[in-house]
Amino acid sequence: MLVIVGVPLALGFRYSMHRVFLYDFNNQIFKGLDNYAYALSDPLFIKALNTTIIFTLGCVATGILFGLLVAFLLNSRKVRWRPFWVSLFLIPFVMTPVVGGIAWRFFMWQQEFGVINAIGGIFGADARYWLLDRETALFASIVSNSWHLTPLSILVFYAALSTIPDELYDASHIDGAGPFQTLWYVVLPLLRPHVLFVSVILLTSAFREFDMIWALTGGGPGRSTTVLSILAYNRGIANQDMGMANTIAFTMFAIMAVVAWIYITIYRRMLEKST
Amino acid sequence: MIHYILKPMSWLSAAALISMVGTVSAQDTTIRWALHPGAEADAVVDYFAPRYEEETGIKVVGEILPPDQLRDRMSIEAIGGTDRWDLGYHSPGWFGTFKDHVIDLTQLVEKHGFDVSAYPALVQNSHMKSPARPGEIIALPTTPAAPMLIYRRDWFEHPDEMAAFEAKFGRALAAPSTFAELRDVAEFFTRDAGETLAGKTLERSLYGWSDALGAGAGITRSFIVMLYSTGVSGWDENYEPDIDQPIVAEVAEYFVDLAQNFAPREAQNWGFLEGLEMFRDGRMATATMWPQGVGTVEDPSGEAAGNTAYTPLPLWENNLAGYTQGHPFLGGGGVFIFDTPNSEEAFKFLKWMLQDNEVEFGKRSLQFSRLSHFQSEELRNLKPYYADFLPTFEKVLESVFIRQGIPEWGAVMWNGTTDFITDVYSGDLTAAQAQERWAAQMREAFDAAGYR
Amino acid sequence: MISPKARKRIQVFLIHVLLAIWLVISVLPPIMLLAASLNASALFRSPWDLLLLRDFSIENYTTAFVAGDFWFFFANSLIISTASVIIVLVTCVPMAYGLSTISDRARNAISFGILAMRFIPYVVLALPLFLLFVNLGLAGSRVGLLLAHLAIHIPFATWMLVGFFDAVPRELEESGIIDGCNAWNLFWDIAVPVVRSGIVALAILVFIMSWNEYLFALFLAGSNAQPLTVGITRFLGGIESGAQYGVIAAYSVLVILPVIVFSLVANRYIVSGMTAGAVKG
Repeated sequence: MLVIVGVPLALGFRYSMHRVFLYDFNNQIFKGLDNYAYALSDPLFIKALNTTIIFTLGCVATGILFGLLVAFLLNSRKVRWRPFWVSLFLIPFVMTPVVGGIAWRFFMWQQEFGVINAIGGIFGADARYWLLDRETALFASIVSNSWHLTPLSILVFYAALSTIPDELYDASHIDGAGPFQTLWYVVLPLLRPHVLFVSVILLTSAFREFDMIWALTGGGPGRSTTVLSILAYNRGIANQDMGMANTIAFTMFAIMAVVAWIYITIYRRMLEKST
Repeated sequence: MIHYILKPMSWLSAAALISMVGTVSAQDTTIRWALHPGAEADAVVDYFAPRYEEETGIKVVGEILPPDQLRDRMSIEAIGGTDRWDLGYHSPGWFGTFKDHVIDLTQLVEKHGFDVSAYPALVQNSHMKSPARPGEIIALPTTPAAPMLIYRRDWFEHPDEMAAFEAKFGRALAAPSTFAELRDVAEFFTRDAGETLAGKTLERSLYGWSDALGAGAGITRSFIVMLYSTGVSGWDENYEPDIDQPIVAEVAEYFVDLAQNFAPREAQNWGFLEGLEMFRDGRMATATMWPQGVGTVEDPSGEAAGNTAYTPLPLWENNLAGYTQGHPFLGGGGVFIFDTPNSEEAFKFLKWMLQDNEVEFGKRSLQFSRLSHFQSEELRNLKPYYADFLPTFEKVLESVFIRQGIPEWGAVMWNGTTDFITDVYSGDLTAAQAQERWAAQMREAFDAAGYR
Repeated sequence: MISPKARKRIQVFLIHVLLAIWLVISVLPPIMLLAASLNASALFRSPWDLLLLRDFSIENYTTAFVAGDFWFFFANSLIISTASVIIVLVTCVPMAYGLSTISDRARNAISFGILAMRFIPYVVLALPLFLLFVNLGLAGSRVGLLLAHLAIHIPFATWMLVGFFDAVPRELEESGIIDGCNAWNLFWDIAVPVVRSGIVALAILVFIMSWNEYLFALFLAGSNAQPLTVGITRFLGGIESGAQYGVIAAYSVLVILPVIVFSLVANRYIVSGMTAGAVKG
């Protein structure tokens, strides 16, 4: 395992410090940290970083919000056919992301006969070019990817909620709390570790997302949905610039390392508090 | 019940693993060719390969790859030394990329009597030679091509439209001879559904001009055609970039204006010829067309068939090189031979197809590459629209840019153009900023290669 | 005035309505694919027309099978996915068992390392793997693609299995030792049967992950090794004009069919696998 992960990581780090072009593969020139300096001063890299952050946070927020709501509904008393709901709610998650992207692109967002514009049309909204418009493409990508990720958050929250004893709800009900007050004041504090866990899973997954965006927009229009993983792909394969591609990829790794460190710190603190 | 599914599956995969090992078998004389999709690829796969096998017993397998994967796949296999393909196809701009992997054809050309002079001089320079392999012949041309402008003759000649145009622009409605005129025409014909065109009410919106604007190759190809028309070459004989001149910013801004205001949004999904279907269906007044698209445009089931006029790309006024019409690059592609044990057999097949069957190849590939193709009465009369199309194509070929086939061409010129026009198009950078970035990268690449 | 009982019933009804709305959102994209694939030409039709199968035809499927080279890509997908499952099970089950029996400190260190893997963006591995395989002559091969999949699966699988093995009651092992079991018996006859459903869950998840994988395939799979996820993108070029909407929908349905069937037949396992890590904290 160490070999299969360690070797590419080490190699990738090495390439990130060199000038490596695929068309001239044998002529590699050592650049030290110049590639990193160049990337950080490159407006395109900064733009892709911004896009990635918006995309990631958008997916995490949407995923958590809808995950909580649906899990809370699902866990309500007297809900029938629970296994039925659960098994169908799972579908977006197991569905191949590339195919998910295709389904959203050609049948949901499509301007002339997509579902979104058809529904919007009922309410008198103008038909939009969701994925072909720089104003809306990133938003549409976030929605599609959140659709793919939310089942995970539903399942985790649902599993956690079902361990909360009914008496707790009864108590809050007697206190006169409505369902949303119960959710906010009683359930959420109990779910804090799970929210943390889910947000990390969603965060890592959205941060590196490639398949869904690639199928939806290919990074366009313009560069409006070019996240870092797509930028790295474009540099490495289309531009054959493996040095810069690895630099971008390693910067992603560094950002994730910081996120991991923050996560572990918070997690530890939470454990300490609870014991 | 899962166990019952998993068990047979594990046997299946064990069998599959064994067969995987089994496929690594001995080489036979099968010539393998990596192809770009198109009529010429279909001709190879459906016609020439089976006939060659019939005649010689040597099998030819054509593998048609997606356009955006062709170069990468060939590079990967070539760098990896897998001998997967004996023949490869690519656009000459990228020939240099394969400099370490393809063979010199000079001796085979002599030995087997391949007539190089059967090709126009421009095509020889562009599609057979490369500065990356000076003095050698490294490829044989199959599909040299360059784009032209097409427009709807019936609309241009409609009295209502002519009058309206003259009232608005103060001159007669005619095929645009300059890019400035093209903009006027494009603006004039861009209309919403419900407006009138040539006396009829439009059911769907109409667009003034289009070319492929898809991220990556689409927008790059469309723009670079206009870029070369300004008279820049990318760099001069001292490898000093010339793309940082003001005229490049001008053409970029012109292109973005045209693309964002008069082309359909859908064009952002087109990589090459897809948009011509919209021209065929009567939804565009003009378009930039590569010759491979003429079949789509003249599809008898479409509206544009018989109503399409052909003209060379318009002139970029005050261009730096004194061109008298638009100056696209000479694109399309040629075949090269990888360094494999089958290379001589592969060459013999190419010679048989391109030279011994030259008219047949022209007929089936629908491409004109050899002098004899242009002279062949049979070919000239093959399609009813060739009478209009072919003279224009010949005129287009009089003014084309021959790309410098250095290994860095793809990186500095093609990808440089991709980045540059994407930046300007998306508004991420101003044209001046993007130019500066581009020129700096170009210098860096030439320094690293030791040219400067 | 509504009685509290009636209010309660309205509330329950509303909850079901909301769940139904979410259900529609969840399944609409695949349903649209299915509907479009069963219409003769999906071009310029409203979604309602597609859903009502106004122009029913199965021609798109025949086209997808023939023009789409379906079985070729299918074979690659199946080989890579099943081989991943087998190799992951053979290596990770013993490894996880071993990890679950060693000291807590060593284990924490290792599981931290494994957790850290989750934070590595795949593109970080894909680029150097591509160049490494070029050097090793594995570029474009199934073996290379499989290795890349394993790099992702093994840490994930080990992490998950350690959790399952931890749940094996100590007393069970202790009584096994008293009965004279050796290390192998303890593992194979006592621990493994307890975690069997966890192993099944893992096998299914690994299969789905491999089946769905695209990024590595795009980088690493040569023409011989391309799975369905790459096969389907062949159709994407030139599709915007719409002629092939029905075919691409049919192809999409064929690609997701196995994973959808899995998720419907075995969702109990998938749910337990997906929530295993979370519930233990």
